Amino acid sequence: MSAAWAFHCLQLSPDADLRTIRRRYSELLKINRPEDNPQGFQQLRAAYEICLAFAREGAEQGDLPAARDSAAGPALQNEAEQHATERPAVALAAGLPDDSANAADAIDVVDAGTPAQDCDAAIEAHPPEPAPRPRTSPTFIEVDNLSEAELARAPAMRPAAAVVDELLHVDARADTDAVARWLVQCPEVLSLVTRDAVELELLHRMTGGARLSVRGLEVLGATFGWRQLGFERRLLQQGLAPAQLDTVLQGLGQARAEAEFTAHLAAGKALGNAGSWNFGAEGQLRDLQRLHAKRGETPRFAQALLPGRVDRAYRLIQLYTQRYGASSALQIFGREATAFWTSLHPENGINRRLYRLRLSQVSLIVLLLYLVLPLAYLFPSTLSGAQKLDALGQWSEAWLLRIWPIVLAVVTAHALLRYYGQNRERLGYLKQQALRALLPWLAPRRALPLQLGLAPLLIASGHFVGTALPFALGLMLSSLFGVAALSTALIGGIAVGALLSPHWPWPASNTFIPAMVCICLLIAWTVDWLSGTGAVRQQAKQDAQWQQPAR
Amino acid sequence: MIVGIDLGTTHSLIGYWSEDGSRLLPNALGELLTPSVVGVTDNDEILVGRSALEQLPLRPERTVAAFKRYMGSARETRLGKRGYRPEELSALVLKSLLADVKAQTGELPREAVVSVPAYFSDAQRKATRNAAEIAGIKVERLINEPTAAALAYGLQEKHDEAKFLVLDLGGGTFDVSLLESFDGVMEVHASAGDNFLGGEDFVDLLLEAALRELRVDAAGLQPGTRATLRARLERLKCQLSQHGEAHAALPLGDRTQDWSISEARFEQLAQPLLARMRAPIERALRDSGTRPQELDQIVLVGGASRMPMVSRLVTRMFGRLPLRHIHPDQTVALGACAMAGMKSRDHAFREIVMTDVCPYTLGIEISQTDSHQHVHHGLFSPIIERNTVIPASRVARYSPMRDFQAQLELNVYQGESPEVAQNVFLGKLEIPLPSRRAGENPIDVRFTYDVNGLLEVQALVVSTRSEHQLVIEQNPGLLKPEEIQRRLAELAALKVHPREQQANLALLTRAGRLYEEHTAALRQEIGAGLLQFKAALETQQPRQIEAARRYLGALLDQIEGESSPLPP
Repeated sequence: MSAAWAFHCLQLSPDADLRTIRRRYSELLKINRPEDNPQGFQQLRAAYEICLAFAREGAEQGDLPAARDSAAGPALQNEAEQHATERPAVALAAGLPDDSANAADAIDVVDAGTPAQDCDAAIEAHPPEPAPRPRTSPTFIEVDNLSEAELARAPAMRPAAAVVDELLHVDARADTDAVARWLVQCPEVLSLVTRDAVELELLHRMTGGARLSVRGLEVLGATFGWRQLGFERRLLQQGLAPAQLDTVLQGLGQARAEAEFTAHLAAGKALGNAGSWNFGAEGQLRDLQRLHAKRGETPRFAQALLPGRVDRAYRLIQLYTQRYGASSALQIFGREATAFWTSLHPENGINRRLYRLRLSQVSLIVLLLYLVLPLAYLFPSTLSGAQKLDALGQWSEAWLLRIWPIVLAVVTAHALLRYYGQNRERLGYLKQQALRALLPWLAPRRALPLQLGLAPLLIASGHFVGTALPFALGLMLSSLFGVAALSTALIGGIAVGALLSPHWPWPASNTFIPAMVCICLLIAWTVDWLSGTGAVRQQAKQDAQWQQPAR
Repeated sequence: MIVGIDLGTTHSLIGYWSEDGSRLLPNALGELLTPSVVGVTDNDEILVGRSALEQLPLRPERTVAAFKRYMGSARETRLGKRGYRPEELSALVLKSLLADVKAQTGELPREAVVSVPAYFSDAQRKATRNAAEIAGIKVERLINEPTAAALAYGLQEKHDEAKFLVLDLGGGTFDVSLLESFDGVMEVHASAGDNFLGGEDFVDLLLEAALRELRVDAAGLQPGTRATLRARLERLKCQLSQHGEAHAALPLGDRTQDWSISEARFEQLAQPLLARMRAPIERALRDSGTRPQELDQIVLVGGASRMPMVSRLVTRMFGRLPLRHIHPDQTVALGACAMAGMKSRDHAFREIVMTDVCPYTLGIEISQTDSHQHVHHGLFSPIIERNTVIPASRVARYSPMRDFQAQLELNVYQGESPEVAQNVFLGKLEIPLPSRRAGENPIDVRFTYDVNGLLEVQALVVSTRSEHQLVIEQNPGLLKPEEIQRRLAELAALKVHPREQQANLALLTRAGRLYEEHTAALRQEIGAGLLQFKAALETQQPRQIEAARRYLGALLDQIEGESSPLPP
């Protein structure tokens, strides 16, 4: 069903203007009446719509439609129209038996294949005869109980800017239905003539940063149809430039997101899973506010080094997305910041930024240990200054040559294993199994007796009474506050080292190495754990909190 | 002869196309508007029209009004011994209208054009057609009410090219149609509406407000009192249309209270209803891509459009005064008569063609698999988009969900939501499929929407060329053909009160009602008038009866405090 067919069917040349097409259509319509000849009417209508679209486009572009390839099919104004007119064409082209049968039955349309001839036949068969139109006395009058004075009495239309000013003022009131009540009475919004201007002005204001309440936005959205299909097209028809449209839509989205955010904070309710936040719902809302306040800037890398920070930010973003949608979350947390926190969370795969973060975290912890351990060793001892210095030197040498390379190797291997995919699942499984076996023993309740049981070993090594014991006790205490696994491993490592070496703690002997390996493994794991990726912990929590949608 | 019928929620009219245009026919009481009320007397005689309306406050359990709102549903109303479906009640009204035609023209019409709200669904349209069948008349054509009104308006319109908006606020429905006329073609561009918004809702609003202000518990009201109150408030509403303030005496159980309301206050109360009128107007404009400035006229139709607040709303929306027929509640009927003339190929219509659109989207339920291989069920796939010019026929191709699927269930819906759950279910078709892979087993679904707004669904299994047709009669809201025949026979057996006596009966019932409502002196006066009228009836002299009737009517009018029971 091409444009050529359509014009041929209406017996017009392809450069016919709108007026001619309509006149021709009205002539043919009087022969192919919809109630008498439904088939013929449908063909005529399809041809008419194609011709109209073609002529309108030609009028817009200012060139002759005839110059274009008419066989290529009509260039229609919108998809819907194309849909409407092209569908029957498909059915006809497919040659369905019902179609050909019906077409044959049709009075003025003989064969679907050569519809042009049908129209010719139809016109010749029934030449249109002019007949007088019926005359009736005019019975339609202007409404009688509403005088011209009513129009004059109607309040003079204010400029759109003033209306929007008032609207924003009304919305600022705490009253929830103020906007709804105001809208019903606002003559400028009521009038279909001025409401477009008001709407455009309002959208521009919102693009400029004007804020509305959620309820206000809802009411306005319902009034102006901001959530309806075709809203963008309507704005374009109202004379908005396409470039402006984007800004306006963004402004509308931003206003909606801000309104939701404000309402959420005011309600003081957590997004979900508030139990894991430091201070319940309040802590979560504070986190939300902090993230919102810094939405404009890319977060500094150092912020991510704080334990648990990445996980909390990422989970907040996720929860917010679940509740209010991705576009709202982007508006609230900022595009840059959202990308930053998301990329740093291992759930989304290893990337260079995450690797850098891991390395920095591990280095930081190892550095801390490097500083703390000698202090614990040196200060309570009775060594002379020179001996202390000597011991520190040996300690540093051991760090540089043995511990640090091992730490790096372990972290790198771990990252590479995850990065190169196929072992990721197996690794996760192994980790899960190990944790399942170990965790009960490393839990604070059991770690303390275990560590106390190791204490005699430390004492038996002879060097520890004045030096390592306070340090070990400190670790034991720390086990009470949650890092039980770390302290147990440290004490265990030291104890093993002490058993193997008579010169513990700082010998040149290689027996030192197994203890250090033990420590480093534990460090890597702890870093993982602190930054919230411990698969078991995470999974267990999620399972308990909400049902994941099946994928 | 083809008659045109406006089967309204509160009133119905009948007429035909004559040499000098549409001609409406009065009923036995000489009124053009027959109330769409049906009642059963104590001797099981059927009452229709004014006499039934008068009986409503006296015997609310034996009388029913506004049943058009239940068209297309299986709801039965019990009147006396028998339950009546909405189709049957409508059929009784139609029968009474047809009897009026026969009394005046001498021939009983066999065919009719019946108007329905544009936003009536398929089931409601079919129910209307069934009602006519039960009344023993063939519906030649169903015409949308605003289209009919536009036809009535367009015929007198002299300009050749015009775009106009018709707003039809009737007793129970609100319809909007946007039309364009050029070269004798009247084309509906878009229709929208609200099936539950009309004059009745405004009366409900008044009733609610009155009860609230008089501190009366609405739940404790007797149905009879309620009907009386509604009748009084209906009259109050009509008075409000003419004067800025009106009052009514409301009988509440043992006492009568005077209640007054100003037009401004009424408008304030009606804000939610007025707000609901905006949505269809905006949608019709948006759908047709018409800017308000392009409209040449805005035409108000329907009895409820007499309320000044309605014209005020329209004036405010469009910044100009709307047009209205002198008798807005006759416009639709006049249009229906014009359509009847068109159907009977009157020479006046040789140069006029009217095209209409289907007011809502029609489609089927589908399931779809998204990019995550997640299957979504219960989605709506439109086949005929709303505001497509009718008659229209559209085909869409679908394939089964699974390989070697044995059967396909085609659920037909109408509505605008992407999920079928929010749309209206029309019917179901089960298609046996040949055993093939899903990709090689397409089904062509063809929707054909005819000029009457009735839908036909055909499904073609492409591989076997076997065809299936949907008869949407599994809908519980519709009667089966044999049931229609049965009810036709049953209704024919019912005793309908003789037409010649209807005017007398209506007056007697009305006098009886007023007698019950009033006390002391007024009651005596009514009693005396009633006695005089009954005496005149016994003489069986038409002239004397006529005189007595006129006298009693004037007396009752005076008592009810106005010149006529309903403004023309």
